[in-house]
Parts: sequence; C-alpha cells; structure tokens
Amino acid sequence: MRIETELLAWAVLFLPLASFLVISLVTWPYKKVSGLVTVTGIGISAVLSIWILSRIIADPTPVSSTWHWLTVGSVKIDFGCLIDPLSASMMMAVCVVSFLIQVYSTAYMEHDEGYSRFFAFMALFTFSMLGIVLANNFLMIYIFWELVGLCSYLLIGFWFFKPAAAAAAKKAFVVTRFGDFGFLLGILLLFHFVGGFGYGEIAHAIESGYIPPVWLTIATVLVFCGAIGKSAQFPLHVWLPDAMEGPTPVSALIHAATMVAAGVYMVARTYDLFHSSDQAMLVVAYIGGITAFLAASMAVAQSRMKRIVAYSTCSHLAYMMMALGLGGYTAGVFHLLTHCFFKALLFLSAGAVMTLYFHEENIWRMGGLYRYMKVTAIVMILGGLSNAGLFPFAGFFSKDEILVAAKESGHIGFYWLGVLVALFTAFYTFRLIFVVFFGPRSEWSPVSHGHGHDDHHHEELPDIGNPRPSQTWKMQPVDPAVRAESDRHLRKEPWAMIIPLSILATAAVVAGFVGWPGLEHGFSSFIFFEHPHHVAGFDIPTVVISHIVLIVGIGAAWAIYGKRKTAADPLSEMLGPIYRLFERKYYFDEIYLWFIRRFIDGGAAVLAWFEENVFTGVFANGIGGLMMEMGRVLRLFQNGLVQRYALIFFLGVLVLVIILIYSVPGEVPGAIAAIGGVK
Amino acid sequence: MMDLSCYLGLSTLLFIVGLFGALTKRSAVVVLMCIELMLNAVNINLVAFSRFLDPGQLLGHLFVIFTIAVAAAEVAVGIALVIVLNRYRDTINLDDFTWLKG
Repeated sequence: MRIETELLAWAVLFLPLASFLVISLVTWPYKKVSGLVTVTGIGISAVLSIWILSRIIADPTPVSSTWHWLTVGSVKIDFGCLIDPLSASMMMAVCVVSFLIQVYSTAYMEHDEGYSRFFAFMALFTFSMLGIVLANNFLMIYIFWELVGLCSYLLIGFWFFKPAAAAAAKKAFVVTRFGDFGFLLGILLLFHFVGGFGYGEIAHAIESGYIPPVWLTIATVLVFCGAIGKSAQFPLHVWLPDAMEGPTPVSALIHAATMVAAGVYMVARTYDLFHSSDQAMLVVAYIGGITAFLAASMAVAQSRMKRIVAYSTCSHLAYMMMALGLGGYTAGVFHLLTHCFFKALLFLSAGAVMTLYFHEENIWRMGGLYRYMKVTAIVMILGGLSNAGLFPFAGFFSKDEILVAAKESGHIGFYWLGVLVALFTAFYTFRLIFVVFFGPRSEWSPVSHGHGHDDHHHEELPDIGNPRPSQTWKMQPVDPAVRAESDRHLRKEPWAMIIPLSILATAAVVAGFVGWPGLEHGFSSFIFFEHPHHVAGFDIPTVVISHIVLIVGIGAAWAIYGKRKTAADPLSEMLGPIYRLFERKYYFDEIYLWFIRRFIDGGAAVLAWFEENVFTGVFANGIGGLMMEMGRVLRLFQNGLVQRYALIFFLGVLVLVIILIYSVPGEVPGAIAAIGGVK
Repeated sequence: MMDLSCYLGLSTLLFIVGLFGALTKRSAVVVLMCIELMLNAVNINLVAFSRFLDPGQLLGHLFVIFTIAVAAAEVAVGIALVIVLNRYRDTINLDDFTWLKG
C-alpha cells in the first residue's frame, strides 16, 4: 500500500517530463499528436494525483520516498518525495488545473505556429512545478525552483518576435533572480548550521536549538526572499503584470494557478522554519499586507484585461502570505488551493473573450459582449464572485478564514487591511465584468482596423491606457454595416474551451465547502500546523463585514460602469491624481528604472573605467608593453658583430671567475694560494 | 731565479695581446692568429703549472700537445671558413659579416 503510493507519486512527477521528452524528440513535427501527448500525460497525472489524495485523506500519515543521489564529503544529498496532506492537495490542484488548461490550450493555440513547442514547454513546466510540490529537501526544491523560472521565461517569451514579450520574459527572469539569490543564500546558511538540506533535518535542528536565533531569523528572511520573487510580492512584484505578454493559458497556469503559488507553497512547506522566528513571521505578514493593498489598488485602474487579473493574483497571493505570516497556516493554504481554481477560471475566461474578440485586450474596446459569448460571461461572473468572496463561493470560505486568522492573531490592523483589500477586490473584479460584458459597445471595430480573427500575431497594441472622458476617443466612429460585419466574425466558444471552463467554474463554486467552519472532518483537520485548528462555526461579524464591503464594491462598480455611456473611465475624473497613481502602478517601474540608470549604470560605468584602464591598460597592455620595450632594448645587443659577442662572452667569463674566487668567504682559494705560495 | 709567477706573467701578457687582437682586428685571418696566441698563452700556463706544482708528472705536457693538435685542426677549419667567406663576399673584414643580427 505505502510503496504503491510512492510509486504513484513518482509517476505523477515524471509523466509530464516524459511528455516533454516525447514531444521534443519525436512528435514535434505533428501538431495534433504533440497536443495529445501532453494532454494524455498530464491527464494520467491528474487521475493518479486524485487517487493519491484520496489515499492520503483515508490515512494522513506522511509518506516519503528517497533516492540517495550524491555524497559530497560527509554530506549526503537525497532526491526524494514527501507526500503528506499539504503536498498531496497541492499536487492534485496543480495536476487538475494544468490538465484543464492543456485541454483549453488545444483550442486557444490552434492556429499558432509553435503549437508543439508550446505543449512541450507546458509539460516541462508542469513537471518542474510538481517537483517543487513533492520535494523533500531544500536543494531539490531549489533545483525545481530554477527550472520553473526557466519555463516561465520560455513561456512568457513564447512569442519572442514581439519585442514586448521578449522584454517581459527578460524582466521576469531578472527580477525573480534577485529573490532566488536570497533564497540560495538562505539555503546555504541553513546548510552551514545544519549540515544537511532535508526539511526533517532542518526542523530537527531548529527544535534542538543548533541554530542561533539571530542567524535563524536571517536565514528565514533570506529564504523568504525567494518567495517574494516567485510569488511577485512587493518590492519584486513588477514582473507579474508584464508577464501577461505570454499566451493566456500560460498566464492562467503559471501566473495564476501554480508557479506564483510556489512561493506561498514554499513558505507553507517550510513552516517549521518560519514559525520558529517571530521577526521573520512579521516580515512575511507585512510584505503580504503591503502587497495585497498595492496590487489591489493598482488593479482598479488598469485597462488591459489580463493585467487586471494579474494584479488580482498578486493581491491574493499577498493575502495568503499575510495569513501565513499571522499564523493562519490552514487559512493561507486553503486560500492557495481555492485560488488555483477561480483564478485559472478568470484567466481562461479572459482568454476566451480575447480569442473570440480578435485578440483584443483593452477592456475599453469591448463592452456589451454578453450577447455574443454567454457561456464565457457566465463562468467569468462565477469566477468573479468567487474572487470577490461571495457566500457560498469557494473564495468566500478561504478569504473569510484569512480574516478570522488575522483577527485571532491580535493584529487588528491587518484585519481591517484585509477588509479594505476585499472592497477593492470586489470593485475591480466587477469593473472588469461590467465594462467587458455590459454597457454599450465601444466605437472600436476590430475588422475595420484590419484584424482578421486568424491574424494571430496581431500588431503591437499601443498601450492607450484608460481613455478620459475629456479626451476624444481616437477611433473613428464606426459604420453600422462594418460593425455588423465584424460581429458576424465573433465565433462561438469551442467545446475545448467550454468544458474546462465549466469544470473550473464548478470547482470555483463548490471547492470551498470542504472548509465549511465547524465541519468535523473538514479542511482544517486535514491540513494544519502542529495541531488542528478547529472553528466552531462562522465568525458572524466577519461574514457580515465582508459581505457589506462586497456589496459596496459591486454596487459602486455597477453605479460607475454599469450605466456608462461612453468608452471612457468615469473613475479617472472622480479620483484624479490618485487614479493616475494607480494607473501608473505607483511609478514602481519608473523608480526602478531611475534607480538603475542612476546608480547601477553609474556603478557599471566606474567598473567599466576600471576594467578599461586598470585591467586592460595596466595589467594586460602594460605588461605586454613592458616586454616589447625590453625586447626592443635587448635586440640592440644582437648586432651580428662576432667580435662584440666575443667581448661580451669574455666579460661574462670574467664575472664568473670573480664570483668563483670570492664565493667562499674568508678562505683564499687554492689556485691563488698556489700562485702566491709555491716557488 | 725564475719562479712560477714569471711564467704566469708572460702567459697573461700573451693572452691579453691575443684577446685584444681577437676583439679589435678587422681581418678574419689576424683574428685567427690572435686566437692562436691566446691558446699558446694557455699552453705556457699548463706547462708552467706542471713543472712547478707537479714535478715528475707529465700531465700538463700531455695536455699541451693535445691542445696544439686541436688548435691545428681549428685553424684548418677557420682558414677554410675564411676562404669561403672571401669567395662569397670578396672580403674578409669581420664587420661585414653581420647576417645573424636580429
């Protein structure tokens, strides 16, 4: 029984890798086959992971399986998997969401040239993510961590011929590298004190107090740096919105459901470490709180569909971080799992809107689309309600649990911050939905602007931002005949999109019920830290407060956007400069760029000068020049005059003789004695 | 009374004359002759040491005969070289033969 579970886990891990290898080595010329390979591989993984999860539910004893991998000196490095309630649930979520997204992608990527490449990368990504989930030591998680970073780079830059995509891929890679560097330092610091990488070893060392508390805090914060980078937390959150340049299924899989969740998962996985240092926990909570607010407020003023959802992701991840930092382990993990489903749903439905609407992304060029894509609209509204946290959607249970955890931790400031973020969440989610699906159609017509629906690699969209009511809308008024023609091109959702969307929508609606407060064998008695966290029932004040802000948020969105007449954001007039601040993302990119230009480039210039003048000038060219000069001088002695050579030779012999005579101090050499002494 | 230092003084004089000539004379033939002078200065040394420091043994004398034989061979080769050089460049001025300079 136990051995079987381990084998299953290894199969879950390696099936996606096998799909990747099969596609990249064998089936890459055949589009349909490649898609099928990935869908099958990850499908089997998904089934197996559900099976494993059911076993773990039946018997929650952690199972682990370890291969001995390397021995370096006295250090043994293992390659193993650890299956406990946390990793089994996460594995199930990753596999199932990934599978649904693959199915969706077969329709979304239908006309793309790089179809096989796409599926190969997606399979590789799923493999790496599962590696993080199953890892049982820090070294292994770090390896997969980097692999995930690589896949993210490859997939964000999937349309590498678009300059924006190439730049976004580079940005994501470089920004997360800052975090990863801290992560590596943290791991090495722990290794220095513990002498091993295993989670168990480190937990044991912490318990027995091998690690001085100060160093423990430093190591924990360094490890958390990795999570900041990967989960796009302040101050490294800047890469996530740009990462939306990739294909939408990538955004859904990587930048909503799984990869960015890796940071949160890692904190949960190594909670022994975090829990042992109060300061580190506070750092986690503060970073989470700050990011949750910043991201939610930025989401309010974005004009691109995927960016709104991306900021929402950022904000929700921060919510989980905040929960973990405040000791709400169960709440944070629960939100991580429910978020997987509803955020993937939001992304996929946004992607569906975009595919059907000529790959347009700017919400102000949409409006009134409900009539044309009812299924998408309905699932997106369900996802939005879950995102905003309406009872009884999944998001409600997990979000309220976080609020309750914040309340119980005694940090009441975080509680109100959470409520405020919930208000923003409800508002921006329904701003998106009302603008896209309701209200008047915008004056913009894709067909009249030369977009055919098969024109996949459409021209670069100028980031027009949010049009102001005072601005004239740049587009020409549309001829009704042309508009009708363009609307005829609006396709119906294909089944390969409808089915995954419906499944995800179902999950987004019902997944929360396992966490019903007071449920005897619910989520809180399945995943917990140290001891189960039992809640008797709903925390009524929290439920009331969160529903009040939810209604206020949605109501405000309806009041502002539901009845709008023009393709412009009325909010920009109401909020003025604050809106501008949100829209420009608090000028983070500008500040970073300024900083880079000012300091990094300045430092680089100094180093470049040093390199050019000291290394090249003094060391390389200087030493070479010295040799050349010496050669030039010494060459004068070789003049071909035999007698000059003979003179030098004679002088040399003379010097040698003098040295020989006086080489033994205080003793007259025999020859001189003989000359002087013998008659 | 003639002692060792007299012989050594003679040979030193002879050697210096030879060295001066070998280093300063233009003509290759004169240089060869000067080298012979230097060799003979050494020969005087050898015989003198043999006579004064090691009487009764003929080691120094033997060495001198050996040196004379080698010097004869050396002159033969040297003169041959000079003849070839003369044919080649129509001169035996050593300063003209600087082909080996860098």
